[in-house]
Amino acid sequence: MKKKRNKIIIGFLSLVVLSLFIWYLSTLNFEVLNPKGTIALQESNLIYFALLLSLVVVVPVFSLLIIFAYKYRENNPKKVDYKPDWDKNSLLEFSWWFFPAVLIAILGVVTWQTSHSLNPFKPINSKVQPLRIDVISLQWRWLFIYPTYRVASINYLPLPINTPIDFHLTSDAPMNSFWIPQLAGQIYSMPGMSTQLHIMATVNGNYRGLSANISGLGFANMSFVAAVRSNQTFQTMMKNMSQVRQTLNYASFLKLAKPSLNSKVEYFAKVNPAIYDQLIMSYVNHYQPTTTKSTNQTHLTKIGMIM
Amino acid sequence: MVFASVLLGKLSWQVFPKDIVTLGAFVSIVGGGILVAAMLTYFKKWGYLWRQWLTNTDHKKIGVMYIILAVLMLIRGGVDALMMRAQQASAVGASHGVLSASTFQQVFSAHGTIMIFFAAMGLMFGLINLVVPLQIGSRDVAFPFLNLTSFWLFAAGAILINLSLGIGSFSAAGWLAYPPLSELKYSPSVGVDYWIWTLEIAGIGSLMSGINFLTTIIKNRAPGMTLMKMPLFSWSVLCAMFLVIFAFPILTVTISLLFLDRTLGSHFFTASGGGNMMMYVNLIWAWGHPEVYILILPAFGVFSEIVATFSRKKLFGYRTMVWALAAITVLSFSVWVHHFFTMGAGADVNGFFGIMTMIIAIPTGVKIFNWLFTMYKGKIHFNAALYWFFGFVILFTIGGVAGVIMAIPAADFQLHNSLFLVAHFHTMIVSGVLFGYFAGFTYWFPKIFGYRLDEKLGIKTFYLWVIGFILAFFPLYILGFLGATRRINHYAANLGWQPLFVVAGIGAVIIAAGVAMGVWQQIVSYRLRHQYRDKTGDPWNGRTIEWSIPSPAPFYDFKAVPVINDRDAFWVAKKNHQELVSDDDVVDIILPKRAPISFVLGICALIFGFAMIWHIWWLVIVSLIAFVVSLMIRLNDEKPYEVVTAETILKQEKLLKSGHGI
Repeated sequence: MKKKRNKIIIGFLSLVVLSLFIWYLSTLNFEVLNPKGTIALQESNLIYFALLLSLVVVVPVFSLLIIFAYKYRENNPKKVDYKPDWDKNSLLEFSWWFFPAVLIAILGVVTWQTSHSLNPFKPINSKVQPLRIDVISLQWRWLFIYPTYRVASINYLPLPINTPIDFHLTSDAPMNSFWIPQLAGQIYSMPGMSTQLHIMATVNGNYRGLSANISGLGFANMSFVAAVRSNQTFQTMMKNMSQVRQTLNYASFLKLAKPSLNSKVEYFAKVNPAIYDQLIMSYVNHYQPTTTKSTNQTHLTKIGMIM
Repeated sequence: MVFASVLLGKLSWQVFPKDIVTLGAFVSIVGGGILVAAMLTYFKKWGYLWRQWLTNTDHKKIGVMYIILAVLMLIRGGVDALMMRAQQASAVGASHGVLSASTFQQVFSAHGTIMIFFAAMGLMFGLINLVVPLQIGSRDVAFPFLNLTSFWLFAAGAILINLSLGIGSFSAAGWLAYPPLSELKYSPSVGVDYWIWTLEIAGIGSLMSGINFLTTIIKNRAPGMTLMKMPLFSWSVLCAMFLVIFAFPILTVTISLLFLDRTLGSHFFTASGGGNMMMYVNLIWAWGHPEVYILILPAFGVFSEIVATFSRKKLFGYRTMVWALAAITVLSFSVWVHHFFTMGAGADVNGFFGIMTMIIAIPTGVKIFNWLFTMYKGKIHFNAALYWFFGFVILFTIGGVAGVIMAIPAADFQLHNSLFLVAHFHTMIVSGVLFGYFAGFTYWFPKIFGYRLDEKLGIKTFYLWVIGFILAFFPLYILGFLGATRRINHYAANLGWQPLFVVAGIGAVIIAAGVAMGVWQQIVSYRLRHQYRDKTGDPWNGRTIEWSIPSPAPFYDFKAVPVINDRDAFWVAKKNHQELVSDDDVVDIILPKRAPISFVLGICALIFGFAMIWHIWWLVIVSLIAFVVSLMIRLNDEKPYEVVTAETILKQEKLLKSGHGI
């Protein structure tokens, strides 16, 4: 009697814990599976598809394991077959090379197609003129330059809805990874390199953006807001930004690029859109960073002293 | 001043840690060392330790030393993991958690480095040392001196990485130290240098072990044991060592180039000056991906042995098993780009590497089905070792599904660098690699020590690990979908992630309890060793020849090397009521002598690494010269072996039968 009651209590308690947990999960924003843009939508569909296809293998593996372990246990009171020398069967072996191969073939085709259709470098098909935005990761914040409007912002990324966005990304910091989970998958931003990401937001709202790749001390603070707004609101925002006092040219950019843990939003007007190219060329053309140079020289002298 | 900088390089009073956590860790490690040394002195065991263990070239002794060191490093890496969990469970909103950002970044960099290079690799080389020579009927490895030297290089690396706790700091650039973050410009302290020299030294040790075991398996098999009659564990080791030989040179060269960048100002991977960081990322993963298979293949081998033994049945599909191993070995070199689909390679490149990655799932799946059908129509004995196998199949399949999803580049864009990825590779490494080695250790333990491990405590250990694992890592899968990235020391409160991190923290504590239970199992089993004694040398009704010799295995392994006519040679002999060898076959044999020079070489390597890190150039030269001279002394030894007479062997066999040696 007592045992039965305990079982009921334990069962009830686990039910409570489970429903609390599910309630808790329902309050969260599953950003990767809650897309607000065309690219993120296709990517989350792809994740669901791959997950379901994989279950075709998982279900038989789990069931066979449980059935075999139960049926062929040593102390099974029922008499079951025991064939200690049965160790091959061509048909069975062929089947578990063949059927997984078919699954992988299906998945392979999907992989190849989506690698191309969701290639971050590929422009999005749309009648609307795409908007170019230059993204520069700094230590440890994000600079967004809107060359068309000659404005820029730190850690705040206004985006017009239903407009293809053409991000060009580079870095004046260690490698970072630019990621707005609800709008599109991530892409690395690297010093001296230029990568690209095309996205299109379809729902108004504020979305979390971040760096997904360790880039030093302040890396966890590198979050920003991607603000998707109607075209009209977006234009107003651009206009307001173009009227701020702070301006940005390459010289003031170099000051801005110094390491900082300050993640406050800032705006710049009268921005020189050549900053992006100048920055990349500064890495390509010559060997300039002064700090590296001086440290290296001291090392070389030290070695010279004893050699 | 100049004199001091020549004498001490970059060393100064400033190098000692200032934060209490690091200092406490270092003090406890040093304190533990002093305690052990004091006990050794008190019980007068230094001579025994030196002769029987530290300088002994017996592969079984080396194996045990590897495992002890690997478990210590597992505990060190585990403490790192607990600190990370504590940080992420507490650092939300206004609170910045228990660790500073810089300490946290050092902790996760050390955790990854230690777990892969010292815990997992150490357990693997330990198990291989214990088992392979016994399983293929070879009396020792092909190069016993090299084997001990590899161990001491491994140990030197382990000591070096722990020195970084007390002297200077460790790398904060992640376990693979991507440039340009790991370049001098962004990481000016010695942390990355510690990382480099730890891996240079331990990596060369691993490479030499790879050469050693490949040669051993190719050249030293018992007469009659053709490759297709070789037990699957040895097959899996053969494949893994093949990978070691091809992959580890890439690691050594890559980090050497990083060293040149940092020390001599070259520009292989720097952002400016013509360097290319993407080259580093490619190279490090050209080693890194095969490394995963180096770890997992021997674990597959272990499962092949124990599933057949405890199902009392021949392994199903031996030939396909071998082909699956070979396929994984070859394919593992053609998938490395899947670690950085997000670096912006073209669609064709990403598509190709995505598909290659999925193809590996096929031979892996084949192996799982073969194990399942080994159980079919068997008589399954539920030994603790087999529990690890069940845990492995369930968790590894889940981790595999996660892997296949991330193999699709476009899906990976959303999951890369997230906690989903972290959960995925921990599932593979913990439930695959660690569970496999734990199973193997449970299985072969009696052969090495002469008594079985306590069964009930083994099963309790298993449950703690599995429950702890599920609680620690399933929340991370969920967090990945929430958009949580790895390596964050802080997150905003309104995201609502904290409860999941707290659950993960509880899981980590339960895993720690599992580790403690495993240690307790050792203590209890040792105290009950006479009760658990393996009198027959064949406690599990084994199939392969290592079970034909007495337990614990004598120092000469086989009184006479048997002739092999079957895959399950011992099983067949038992069925036919035959002995594999008789006392008449016993002849005089030669065995390798002790090799104190290996220990000296390890010390030289340790000093060399330390001097390189701190730029103490005179010490670099001195330690290099000492290394070369020691090596020359050993290489000039005309008779590095000793003869064991047939008489000694027979006497020893008699002693073992009467229960001596436990």
